[in-house]
Amino acid sequence: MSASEPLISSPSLWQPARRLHRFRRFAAPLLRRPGFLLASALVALTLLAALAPGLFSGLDPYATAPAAKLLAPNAAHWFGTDELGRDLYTRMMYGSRLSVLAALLAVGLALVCGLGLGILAGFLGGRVDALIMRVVDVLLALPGLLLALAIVTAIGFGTIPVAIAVGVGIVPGFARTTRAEVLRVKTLPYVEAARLGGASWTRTAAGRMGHADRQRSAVSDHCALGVAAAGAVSGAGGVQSQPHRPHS
Amino acid sequence: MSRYLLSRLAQAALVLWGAYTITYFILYLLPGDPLSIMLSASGMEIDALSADDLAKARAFYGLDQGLLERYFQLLWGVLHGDLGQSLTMSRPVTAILAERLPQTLALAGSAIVLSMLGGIGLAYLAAYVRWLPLKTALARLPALGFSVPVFWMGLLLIQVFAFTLGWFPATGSQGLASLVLPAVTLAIPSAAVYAQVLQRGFLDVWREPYIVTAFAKGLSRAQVQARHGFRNAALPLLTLIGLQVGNTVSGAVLVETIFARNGVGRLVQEAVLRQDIPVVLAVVTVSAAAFVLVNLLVDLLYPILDPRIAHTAKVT
Repeated sequence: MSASEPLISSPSLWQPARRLHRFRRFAAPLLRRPGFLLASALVALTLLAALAPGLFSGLDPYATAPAAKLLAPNAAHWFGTDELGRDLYTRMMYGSRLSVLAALLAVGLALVCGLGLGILAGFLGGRVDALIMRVVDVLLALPGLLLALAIVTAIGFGTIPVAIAVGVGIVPGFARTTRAEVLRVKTLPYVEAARLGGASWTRTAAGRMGHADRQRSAVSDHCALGVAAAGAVSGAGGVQSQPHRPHS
Repeated sequence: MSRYLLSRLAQAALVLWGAYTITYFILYLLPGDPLSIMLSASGMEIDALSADDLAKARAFYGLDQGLLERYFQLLWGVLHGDLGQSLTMSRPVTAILAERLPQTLALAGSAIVLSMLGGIGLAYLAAYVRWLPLKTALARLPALGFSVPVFWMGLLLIQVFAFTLGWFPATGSQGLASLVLPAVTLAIPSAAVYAQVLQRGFLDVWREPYIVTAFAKGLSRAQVQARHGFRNAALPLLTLIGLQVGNTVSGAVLVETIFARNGVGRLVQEAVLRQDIPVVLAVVTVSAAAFVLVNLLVDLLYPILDPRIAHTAKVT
């Protein structure tokens, strides 16, 4: 991000685009699409329900009312009640916290491990690459749900074990996508330029550590890599975390 | 070709061995104390046993050996067709599997056939129809198909076809009628994937020069689609069918639980709840073997179906 700040603080006519400005230019076409608005509204609603479920319902999710059990949806109970007379709408709103937490944990774990393994394999190449990718191949051959079930058998039940189990199930896909992306980016001219400029692979990969001026190419390499990998990966994450949600 | 066959077989065996190894280490290394899990799975309390009994139990489950020693012993058993002893049912795992496997094979087999029929049929129709509203509707259907969760679809089908219409039994594993609803439930997500990919394939194929040639020879639209379009568009499906086997196994766990069928999926669900480690290990191994085997078959079928893919030595 340091690229956007002017290096020389002398007043001039040309100003680099400010962050807000750039954000607006990026977001404007998206905001005109109803599908995008609807999707982001739904995500915002889910997150808000996870943070403050009390906002959406005045009822207690644990309050039982045996007289009002198994009611059909009505004005008082929007989704009806369960076999103990608890309000299902309220329970769903309060339950979203656990689901969101488990999904975030799982995707976060997959992101860290998958990106790490993929970048390691892609950049180092050779034997390390072969070893990591064979392990990933094996993990891909295990059906995701069964792998998750095996991990749950070993470490027990609960939100965090389930999140870990689901996360480990997504790691191989992430690692594979990231490695492919790293291999592609690795051959791009600016990375070669950075390498020819004397930057080592570690420095090219984690270019942030470099000096602002000389390592500019390495920094942009890192950003491009991050964005490309995140783009490829967030799609996969969105799709893959969905079916496991009822599990948690 | 035979050299390729050998290397593919060796690769498949290696992946299978890797799958077994990873699952073994997950199941025996991750738990803090496998003995207490195994004892509670067998219905015993670890606190109620004396130190002498504990040592005996440890030896009985083979936990007195080192992790690696135990691993090689189990692997030796697997290679001889012995998958160990179930903790909760106190029977050999192979006997339980032999009892449950036919149910799951029937379910998975009919689901795969149904999903191919449904998916290919839908995409074929969508490519053939020319009235735009219908074409768009057909093209959007797959997205709906794989957005709907399997368990919800199962419950919906039970509600409509078993409780309201009474055409099929809601649960159970007796007879052909009880197979219909679970197979349809399991087939829908895979069918949606096939339809999506095949539609995409048709879109690409229609632009190929040989389609123009076929039209120029005077063939009708239906003939061109059947003889020249379909065969080329359908090739990517083969790989996909191999990959979908994994999803079918995962789906079978859900579907057999919903429809209360006595299959392997239900077995693994029960085994996980009771932490029956040998059964979980065996089921994961068997399903990995199915996955590897089907994908091996797909790879070997490719050059037969598409002669353009030949396995010649790589030029390096």
